[in-house]
Amino acid sequence: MQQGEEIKQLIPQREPIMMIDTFYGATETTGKSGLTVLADNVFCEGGQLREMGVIEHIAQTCAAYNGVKNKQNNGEASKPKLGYIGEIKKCQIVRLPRVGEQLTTDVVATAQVMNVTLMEATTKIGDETIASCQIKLFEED
Amino acid sequence: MLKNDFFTIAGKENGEGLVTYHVVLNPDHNIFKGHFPGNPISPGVCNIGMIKACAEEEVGCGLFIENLKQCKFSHLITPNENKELDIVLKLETTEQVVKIAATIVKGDTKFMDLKAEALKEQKA
Repeated sequence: MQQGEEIKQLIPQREPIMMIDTFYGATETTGKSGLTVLADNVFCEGGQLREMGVIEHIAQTCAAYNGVKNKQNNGEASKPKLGYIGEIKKCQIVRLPRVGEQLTTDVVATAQVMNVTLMEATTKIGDETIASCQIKLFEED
Repeated sequence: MLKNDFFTIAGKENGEGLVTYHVVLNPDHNIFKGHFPGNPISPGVCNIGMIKACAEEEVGCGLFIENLKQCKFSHLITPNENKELDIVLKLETTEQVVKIAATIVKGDTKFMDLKAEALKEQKA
């Protein structure tokens, strides 16, 4: 499990747009992350994490999964590659997280071709699913 | 949230069933310091956020995007090279729901397109 500053080893994003604070680990095709919503989060408004924050949290969970794979393939010292969202599909947001709540997101890589990863994500607060989507991520070489 | 901070609205034009918002990015915004250090690129979610903010402006209330059906990013937006952008909206509004079809373009370059359904937020 990685937390706090260690997350920077896995993803290229930095403050104020880091939207995961914990990475619980990855298997060959899955990854799991967490985020506790703080009041000073750049995507918080009126005590809620807005849609942009939820989606960025999902995207960074995918990025962290890629970061772990990258280290496994290219060595522990490998820096996280820059990555971008290429496409988002079927993204349902049931409700917005409130300040103080803890999100956990599970991602499953369904396809990977060259530098493109297709993933499915589910975000929960406790046992309650609050968001799900399909996301295509591009990584730079 | 992003409006008048991450970006500003410089004007708008009504077309046939469409409305175009002219927006200007703020290259000095903190978000660009983290996305990415020394290599500022507008996060995809902020592009979605700008579309949402223009749609809110148009319908006159807050929106909650509950269903982002599809959203394709075809070109990166960098705040220095792509400071001025056009956000083209086609909205279908009912009592509670707003269907949004939007593109972000400038000249011949299309940066992204989006289809979403949003709920109107009841706010004072």
